[in-house]
Amino acid sequence: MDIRSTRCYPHHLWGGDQHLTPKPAVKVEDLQYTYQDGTVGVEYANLAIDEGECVAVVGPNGSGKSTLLLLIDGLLKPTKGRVYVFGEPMVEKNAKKLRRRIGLLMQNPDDMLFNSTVQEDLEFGPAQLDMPKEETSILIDKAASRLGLEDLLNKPPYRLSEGEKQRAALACILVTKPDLLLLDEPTAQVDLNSKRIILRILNELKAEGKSIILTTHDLNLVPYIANKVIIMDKSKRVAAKGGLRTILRDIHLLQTCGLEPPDITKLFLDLGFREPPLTVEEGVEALTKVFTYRKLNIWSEGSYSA
Amino acid sequence: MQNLDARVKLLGLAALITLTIFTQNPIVQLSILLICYTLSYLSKISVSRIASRSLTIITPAFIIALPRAIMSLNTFSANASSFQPFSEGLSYLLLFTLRIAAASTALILLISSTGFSKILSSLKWFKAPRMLLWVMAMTHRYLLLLTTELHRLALARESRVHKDLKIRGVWREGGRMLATFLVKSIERGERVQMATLSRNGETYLKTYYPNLKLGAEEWIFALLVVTLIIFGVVTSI
Repeated sequence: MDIRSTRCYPHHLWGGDQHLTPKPAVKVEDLQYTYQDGTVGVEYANLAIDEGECVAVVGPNGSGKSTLLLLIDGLLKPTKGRVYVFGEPMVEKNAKKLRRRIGLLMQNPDDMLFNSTVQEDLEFGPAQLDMPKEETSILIDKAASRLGLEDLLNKPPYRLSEGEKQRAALACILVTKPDLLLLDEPTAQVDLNSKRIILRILNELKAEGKSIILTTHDLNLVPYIANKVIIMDKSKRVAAKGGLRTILRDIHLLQTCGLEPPDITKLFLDLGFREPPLTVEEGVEALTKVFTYRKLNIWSEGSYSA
Repeated sequence: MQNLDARVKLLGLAALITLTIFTQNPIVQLSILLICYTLSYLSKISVSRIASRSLTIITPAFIIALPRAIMSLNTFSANASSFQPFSEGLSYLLLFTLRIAAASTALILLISSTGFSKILSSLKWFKAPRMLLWVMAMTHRYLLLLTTELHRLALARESRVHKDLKIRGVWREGGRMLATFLVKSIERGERVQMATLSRNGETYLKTYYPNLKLGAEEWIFALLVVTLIIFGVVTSI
């Protein structure tokens, strides 16, 4: 398979038909970016993400996922191509206005926590947006209780654990009430508890209708958050994009791009399931069906469809 | 001290620091020192931490002023009939050190009991120049970040070095580490700048004003400071 050409699945598989007239939150056209030292950041990217969608950009390390997010946020200027956010081109004169609606979570939370205390870091964003102090206090209290940060507000960020830092960094962007969230590896290097909290918050944000683009190389996580997947490969191109199930069940495509399907999917594919589950919960459901309808004869038959 | 309004605290402690500069009376200096330590004790700020931090300022100040006392000692040898020259030098040394101790302790008390953003917003309230505030904010931010970066770098290096280096080796390794630190600092600075921009940070960073609170604590503190100032002025005349 030639993965240098983007594999696009039909639009109805993306779940885009949920909206009658979906408005694109982000549109990327022929995007290319080369760093000053000549290193290619993004080779070629074309994609459109509708408002209210949650899209996972997956790919191995160094495939240009983080650079793509920085380009969407207007922090890097594309070498070629254009980025549109909420229908407006992300150019220097628009950047400030558009960034008021964007929340970027950087890969390393230390980069985002640069004040003396967590409280000061949380106040930073709203202060720049001239939000009234009273409103900011309410938003900070809300974000802190959602992310379990109540006892950490007066602590210096460098005293926090990695999970706490990541939650604090996420709170920093939530307090600015963004419509579009760009999350760079939101669950990397965090403990199980923090991962659960972050996943819960992301699902709540999705339910609130926020548009979310997150990058990850952990495909086990993707089915719990995203409804679309974009794959970037080592050549720093968008190798494929499509619906969650279509992409995550295409083991050949994933392996060509240096990725592995979710563990549970791989297990069921190996067992011969034609439509393997993507999450543990779906796996339990599939097995329950098998046990219920076929009793315990599962091993005597060749393959099963969940 | 932590609950005091940042503006009242800043103004009060700045007044005490100014008093240490303009008064020569050791009793006034000792009173300032005593009040600072009492306030830190009452505010549950570690007294030993304040002392150790101020020692880092007092020690070099003492060393700088020491030659004056030593030079007076020579005068004393030449003029054995009188203790005056030596005691003059010694008293200068002691007074100088005492003044530095009082001023630095007041400053450390301010820093220990007030968040940096509160100090900045208070200065902004007092109409301090924008550029000064910006320089202070940037210096503080990058100083913190670079200190943690350097700490990490040193730990990573130490975990991989398993032999004692000779002096030349130490210098060579130190040079390499410094180069890595500089490169990392630039990279880190770029990423932090991006994070600042993504949260709509501009060249001039905005902060919230703390609410002006003038309760009993503020009045007591102000009264204490005013009493000390009057005492200082009266004894200096």
